[in-house]
Amino acid sequence: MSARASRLGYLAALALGAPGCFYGDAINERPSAEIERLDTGVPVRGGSLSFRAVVDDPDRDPTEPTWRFEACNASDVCAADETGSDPTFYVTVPSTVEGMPTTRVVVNLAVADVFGAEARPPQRLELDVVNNAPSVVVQRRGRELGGAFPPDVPIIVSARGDDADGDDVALTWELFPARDSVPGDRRFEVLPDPASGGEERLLLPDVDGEWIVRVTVDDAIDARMVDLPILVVPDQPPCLGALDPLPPPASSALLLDQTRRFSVLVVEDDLDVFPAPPPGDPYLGLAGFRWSVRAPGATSYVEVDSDVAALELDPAQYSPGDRVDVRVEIDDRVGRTIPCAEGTSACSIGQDACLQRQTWSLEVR
Amino acid sequence: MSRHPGLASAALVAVAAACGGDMAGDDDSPDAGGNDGAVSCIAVVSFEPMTAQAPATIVARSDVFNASGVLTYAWTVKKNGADVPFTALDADSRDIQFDAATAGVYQVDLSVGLDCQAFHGDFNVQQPGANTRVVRLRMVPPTAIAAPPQERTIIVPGGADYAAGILTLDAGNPYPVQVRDGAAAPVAGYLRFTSRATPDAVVEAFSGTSGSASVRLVAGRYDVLVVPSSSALAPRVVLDWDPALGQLLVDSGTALGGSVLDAAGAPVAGARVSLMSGTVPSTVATTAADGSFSLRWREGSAIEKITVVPPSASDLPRLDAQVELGALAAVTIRHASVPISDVGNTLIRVGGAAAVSTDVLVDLSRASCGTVRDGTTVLAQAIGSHRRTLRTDAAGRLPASRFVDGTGAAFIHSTGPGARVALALPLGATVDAAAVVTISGRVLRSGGTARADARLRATLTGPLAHTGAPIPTATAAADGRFTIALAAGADYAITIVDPTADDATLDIDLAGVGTQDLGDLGLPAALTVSGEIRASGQSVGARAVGLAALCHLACTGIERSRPLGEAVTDPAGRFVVAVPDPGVSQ
Repeated sequence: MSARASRLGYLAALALGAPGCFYGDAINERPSAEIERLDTGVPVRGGSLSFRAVVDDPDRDPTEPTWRFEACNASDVCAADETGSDPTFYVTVPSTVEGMPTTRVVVNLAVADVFGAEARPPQRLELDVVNNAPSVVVQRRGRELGGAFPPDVPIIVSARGDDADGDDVALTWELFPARDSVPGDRRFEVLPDPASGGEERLLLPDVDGEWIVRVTVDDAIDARMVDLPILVVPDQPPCLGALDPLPPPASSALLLDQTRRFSVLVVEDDLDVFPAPPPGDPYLGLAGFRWSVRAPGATSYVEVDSDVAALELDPAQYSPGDRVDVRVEIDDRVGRTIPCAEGTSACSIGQDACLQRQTWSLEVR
Repeated sequence: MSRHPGLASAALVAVAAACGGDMAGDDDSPDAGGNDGAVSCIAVVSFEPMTAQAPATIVARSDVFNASGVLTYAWTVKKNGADVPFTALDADSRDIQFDAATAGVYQVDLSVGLDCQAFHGDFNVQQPGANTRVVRLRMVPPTAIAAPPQERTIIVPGGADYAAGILTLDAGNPYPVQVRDGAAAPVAGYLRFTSRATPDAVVEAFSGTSGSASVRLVAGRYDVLVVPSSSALAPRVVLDWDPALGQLLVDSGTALGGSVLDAAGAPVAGARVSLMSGTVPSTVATTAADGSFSLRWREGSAIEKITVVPPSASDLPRLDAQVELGALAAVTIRHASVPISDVGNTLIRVGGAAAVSTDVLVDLSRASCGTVRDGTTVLAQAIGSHRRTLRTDAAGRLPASRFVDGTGAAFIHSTGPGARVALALPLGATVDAAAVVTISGRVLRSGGTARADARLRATLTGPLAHTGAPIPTATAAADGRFTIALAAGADYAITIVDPTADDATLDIDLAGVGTQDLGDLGLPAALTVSGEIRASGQSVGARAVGLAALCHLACTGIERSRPLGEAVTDPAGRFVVAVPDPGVSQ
């Protein structure tokens, strides 16, 4: 039997044993209260929190909660930010308190019933607040083909830090060059402030291999780093693209019955292309051409022109029935030896579909 | 949400074709817009007026098809990358207008949200009084795209850049072709398909020993030159051929026999005899020991050109004659008795110095070096010629070599641009060629200011033009001035190229050059033609397509193959090519 019941029993017995009437005021009891957190997860700066007051009043009296929310910094300086009187309490964690990052929040709940009885003790919930880590976006631009860059061609690396808490962020750059890089031969320079904000560096890799640019962003509380891999591959040989006319298949010959123009319309390359890149292009140059002719009856070719993408041939130079071969070879700034034999009409340094030599065999009429 | 809900999706395709190009500039292909027929939300824009001259106020009206919900109209109008102000004509900016103060290409973009396909279009505003130039755009796809080379003709107005819209690269169809002779036997040979619609875009193929070939052609009719590998069959042109027919027939044509004799009437063995009737070649016959030959040909014009090339060991000159063969079955080709001289031991000097160990191209010809006869009737006189390259010895003297006593010239591959000298045989003990001459001038932009870094390239022309001749080059200095050393007395074509392509290429023909100042050479103004190339059936651009802008009118022969400008499509299929500006009439 509870103390309350025994006390009532005592009063009832007293009343039964005494003549007359007994009057007594009903005794109001205090409510009890607890704070229930509705959201989950670690509180973060700038994040939202929600709470509910769990109240029990023995007398079933109406109750009213009083909420008070404080945010504190690492110096234990706290500031009251929010108050409320609804059963449910929503707050946003401020990013700073007195200019310093918020590290802790305190939620106080006081509950009283309509008769003024207050819950004891007052409810207090302290929560540690964690910092939103800063973020950084790192990008690269340059003569990137198939995810790789040629050496000795500038690569622009841009980075911009951000912090959800609004903290100032600082960027730190580190370069991890490829294994064979020579410090004096590579460049990693600061570029003037980019229009988009953030920072930019110019990387001029001196050797092929895997390079890494590490950018660390720091908001003075947390730091995050991002590694930007930059794959530098040896310069790729240029590839003959569209040709006009199409070279004939092996052992066949096109007819040279009028002056004809043999053209390379397209050279694709990581560095040197055709048609010419726009003037001032920071990366691209113009492909090189070598035109050779094997005269009727000759066994070897003679170079007849260079640095142009077409060769014209007049049948009047020859006699009807003559066989003439026109050959084009392309190159870029690197300069390579084409490995095929003199008589091979089509040749690829990489032994793939990327050709550096093509030949038009012609029969004069 | 369409403002014209009655428009069917078929209309959508037609309107979508305008996306990416001006109202007049798009290709005529029905799938140029790339719409695959799926009904999806799409924004389209029409312009008023449809063709405009600057200055003009342009109204751009939008329609959005197959959308649902509230649209947000976000417009941008740009010219040469700079924003052009516009004003909304409605509360929600469905329609806008902008002032096209100057001629050129206005890029109009409209996004309406809701995942609708945005509109990107180029609108051409012309210069008042613009002249026009017809330009052929030759498109040569990379091997990754199965399509034949093909051409489109566009009319470019002068005075401002021009957007050509979307050009469709027609995939054509692979046609199986069977080449047969009169007995239905397979014929191997060379095939040249010349489109009747675009005759410059030829397609070449070969039939194998089975007589079959597979050739990818754009639909249409073709003139087909068939040159059989067999000398028993005459080459022919099959006119107005439909690829769907699939078969090409050749036969032995007309036989032409006869003999080749020297001046004394002795047979010439090992001589090559051929003729050209119009553009149709004959077979190439080689004379037998008795000088006889037999070739096959087909009449392609009234006059035939007959050529006889004696064996290289012979002193006899090559003979070329124009003759009307008609129905003749045999001719006698007889060399005339003309003086022949040995040039051996002649000292070659350039600028007074011996040209030692130097190649010398000697080109000489003489009229009436032979005859083409029908029996005793002379049908034609033949021009005789010798053209050989000799190498001087360590003293600068020519080796022994016999030439017809004619006139002509020699080109001496001495250092630098080489040297040219006129010749008339017999030669004296010494041939003196003048030293190089210097041509100077100043290259100006089309605007009149100096054009630095312009590149000059001089190519020999005329009878001495030959593959392997020196090609002098020069680069204009900062003030536009240049000097270039050339072979004195030679004929040249000088090409001056603006490396920035701001201006067009300038071609100059110089005959018999001597030292001279060409003065101010103004580069022709250029404008850019931009557009996008799409493979047929694709709604995205085709990359790495080679594009050459070529002249269409007032050019013949090899000029039709020399590009006015060249470009390659970028990964989005777009291209920009510079062409000469046809200008504006005052």
